[in-house]
Amino acid sequence: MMGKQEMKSMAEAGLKEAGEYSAEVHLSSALYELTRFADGQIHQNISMDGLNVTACLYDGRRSGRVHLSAATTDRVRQAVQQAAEKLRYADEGPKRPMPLAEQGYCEEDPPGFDEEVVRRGTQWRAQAVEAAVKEVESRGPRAYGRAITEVTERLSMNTSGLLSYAPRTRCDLVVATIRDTGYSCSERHAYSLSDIDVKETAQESAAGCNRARDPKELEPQEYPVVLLPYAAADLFSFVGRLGANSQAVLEGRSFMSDSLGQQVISEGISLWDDAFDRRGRPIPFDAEGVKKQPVTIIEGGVAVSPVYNQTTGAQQGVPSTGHSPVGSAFAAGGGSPQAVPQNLFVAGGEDTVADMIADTSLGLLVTSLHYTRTVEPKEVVVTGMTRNGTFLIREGEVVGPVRNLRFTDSYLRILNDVTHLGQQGMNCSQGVGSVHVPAMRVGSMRFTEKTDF
Amino acid sequence: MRDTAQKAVHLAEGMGASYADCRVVQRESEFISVKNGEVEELASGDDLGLGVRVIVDGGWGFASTNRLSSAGVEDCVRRAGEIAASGARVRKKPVRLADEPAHVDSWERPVEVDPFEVDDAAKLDLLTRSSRAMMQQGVAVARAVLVFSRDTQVFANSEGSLIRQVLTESGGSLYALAVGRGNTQVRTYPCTVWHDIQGKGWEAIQQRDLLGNAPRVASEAVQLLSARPCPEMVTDVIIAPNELALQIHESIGHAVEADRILGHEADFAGTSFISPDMVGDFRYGSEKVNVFADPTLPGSRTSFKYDDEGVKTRRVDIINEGKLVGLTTSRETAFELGLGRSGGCMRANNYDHIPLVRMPNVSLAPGDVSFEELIASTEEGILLDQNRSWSIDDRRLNFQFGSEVGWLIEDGEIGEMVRDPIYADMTPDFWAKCDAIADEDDWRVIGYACGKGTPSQDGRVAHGCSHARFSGVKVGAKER
Repeated sequence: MMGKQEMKSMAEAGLKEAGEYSAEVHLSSALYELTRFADGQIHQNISMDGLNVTACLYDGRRSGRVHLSAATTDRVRQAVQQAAEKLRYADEGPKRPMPLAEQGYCEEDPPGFDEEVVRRGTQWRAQAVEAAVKEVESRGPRAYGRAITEVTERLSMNTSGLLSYAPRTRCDLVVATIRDTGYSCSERHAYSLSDIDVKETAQESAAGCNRARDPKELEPQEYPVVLLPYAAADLFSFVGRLGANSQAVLEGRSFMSDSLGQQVISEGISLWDDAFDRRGRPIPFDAEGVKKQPVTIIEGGVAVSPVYNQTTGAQQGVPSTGHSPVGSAFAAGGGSPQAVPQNLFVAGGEDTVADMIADTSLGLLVTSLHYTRTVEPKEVVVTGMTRNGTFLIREGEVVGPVRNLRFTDSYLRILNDVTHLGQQGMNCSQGVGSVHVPAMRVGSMRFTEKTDF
Repeated sequence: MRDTAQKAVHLAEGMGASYADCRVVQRESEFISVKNGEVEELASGDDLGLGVRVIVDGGWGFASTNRLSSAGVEDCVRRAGEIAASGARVRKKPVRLADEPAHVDSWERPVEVDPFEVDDAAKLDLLTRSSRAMMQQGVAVARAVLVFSRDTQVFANSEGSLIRQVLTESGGSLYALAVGRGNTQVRTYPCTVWHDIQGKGWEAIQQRDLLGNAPRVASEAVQLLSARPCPEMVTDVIIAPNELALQIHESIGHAVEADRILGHEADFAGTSFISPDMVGDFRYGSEKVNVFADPTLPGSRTSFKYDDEGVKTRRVDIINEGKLVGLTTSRETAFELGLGRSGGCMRANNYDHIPLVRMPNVSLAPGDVSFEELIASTEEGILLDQNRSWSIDDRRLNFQFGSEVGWLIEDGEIGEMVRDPIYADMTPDFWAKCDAIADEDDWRVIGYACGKGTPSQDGRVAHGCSHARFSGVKVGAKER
């Protein structure tokens, strides 16, 4: 790892090149390592190391931005010089104030960082993959999947006194299983190695795969559905990305554009973003260097607030909530037009999955959703497939697997009829963000197509 | 760059690698966006780094870095070797590669006007005027975008290849968002979100006439707000190239990728309904359907002479008169499937990512009727233009696509505009319904991007096609 001082020195050298302009420098150093396996054998072993810089310069409403891969201080200087050159040509854009001062989060015990990942990530991946493959194959299915460890350091600094630095770790284990017509997949995503139980993950996937074999054809129609956390996470991820994105709100393409303060989903459901909650994937500041604030997005089913970055906050006359999205570790940040919640949480309830099944006379149990895409953003109409095990429920019991189905439906409509909410939440990965969510039962979901497996 | 690449390969051999290759890539890039007449983004990038692949003890290791000092390169090669060796306990058989001759060559994608020599002021002027031309009543967002990139890359491997390629590309697009009550409508030009990037210079931007198309794009977005929803029906569907390219991508391109077929993407993107034994036998579509992969086609963002594992590219037939005859492959997958030489389909997103099997100009060959004849010979149907949403199952069978706009066709004439059209089908059933394809005059290559792999790579792909008709397809609106 580089450490705060070395990164700060590089950023300071760059800022000195800014001359009369306001400037910010974002540095990101990352070591991303992946071990991927197919049919019980490793087929990709990857180690990606990089240091990148983004320099943004401002002169009133004009700005210029340059991204460089940057292993040296000279490259950081060069990024600032090139951004100044860009700015000279720029016409005016939207007003975007810079964050002003130290953002003040705890550096002694940074959230989302586990020293163990740095020390023994390579060893953990090799052992986890070997153990997962053995566990799965001993139960019949073939094993596919990946183990990932990542160590990143990000530093944001500007000419107005901002200094944000944080190290961060990530570890993921995905175990997919195939046995003739049965498919399943279990995932664990955390920042600490101790939070991933390899054996349990592999057993869950293998058991799911064995249960999912020989699925029967089922006609698509409207069904009540028990959504396991993997599937439920998809719904809230879309509600967050499409609805709570303040740029979308300002442009009129979010349901929040005209429904703030109104009931938008079932009254038992609360959704918030909290980047410091260690049950998720903490990240203390956003791509613009702004400390992340907890934001209540939906409370008791009522739309409360979107999240903001510097630009959308300025347009709306409110401070940034620290939600300029942090992308891949190999992008050094520096802002994006979007403002997106990346650390979502859904409040748990009092039911178990067994309760949800028992209270269903005819319905489906859905493990995961696949290839979900927006059909219409304002109503959050989404289409996608079920995946990794879909089961028919009759008279309060799971009677067997069915072939995957396509749904096209409004996620707001689906979430307006949540009949049961699980007790235990689970941290599910959604792109570069995460959703901590329990299982839930919804009164109806519209299935429109079927497939052959 | 050449010295660094060769040094990395020699280091890897010295560490016991039975095979090694290295790509050193410099990528210059530029992205300019103007929204509602104001500059939204004026950004450029300059990346330089290397990626090393090794086979040690029969297993792969890949490492990348942008720390290009001697120590940085040595550390990168060491990491590749160490992680390759660490996988020995989870290995059932050693990696083998299909043979490929050593190539020593240099190739540059032809460009008429270097886009990096056109100054920012001219680019901003074009975008600002185009954006303002879309700012009509009812339009909430009028965005115009230009994007350029140039990769200068050197590939070296332990079999003696040393290849330099320079790959320039240019793209630009318009986006108009109209917002009504409970109804948002979008029109784009020439391609939805990927800016129709071409393997050309500034001439690609001049040819597409962004400014001239801006008023139409905006006005169609507004008209869609009051158009009626696409009626539910089973009808003949004519799909425009900018939408059909994605249909080819999702329901043919991915399905015939050898790595998906072998399960390498099973934990993420999925597998394929195609199995190796179906090649040469499986009826994929009607006899009108001929599909090929051809990186040697000029002017596309996936036109290149060598792929990212040093394989000299060539045309590979995928579907001949409806029958599956080939796959897109790498050296490893070609050997494993007994297909002889690699199809030359391996591409990495940049120096830092591992090459994956990609779709180099996977294209639907032109048919034998003009576009006008295609419309005139359609008694009842719908013309669909520009994709708005796309989804397909993890074996590439059941899909649903939504378009920005549909125009109903009656008695051979294009008529009423309808909003929110979607169509759905099963892949082989759908391609079996292809009964006419427009000719070469209508044929063009569309530049796309594709998310694949872990970590996800925003890979460069392109597909050639012309308007094509599919008989008896289920269509409806988003409310269905």
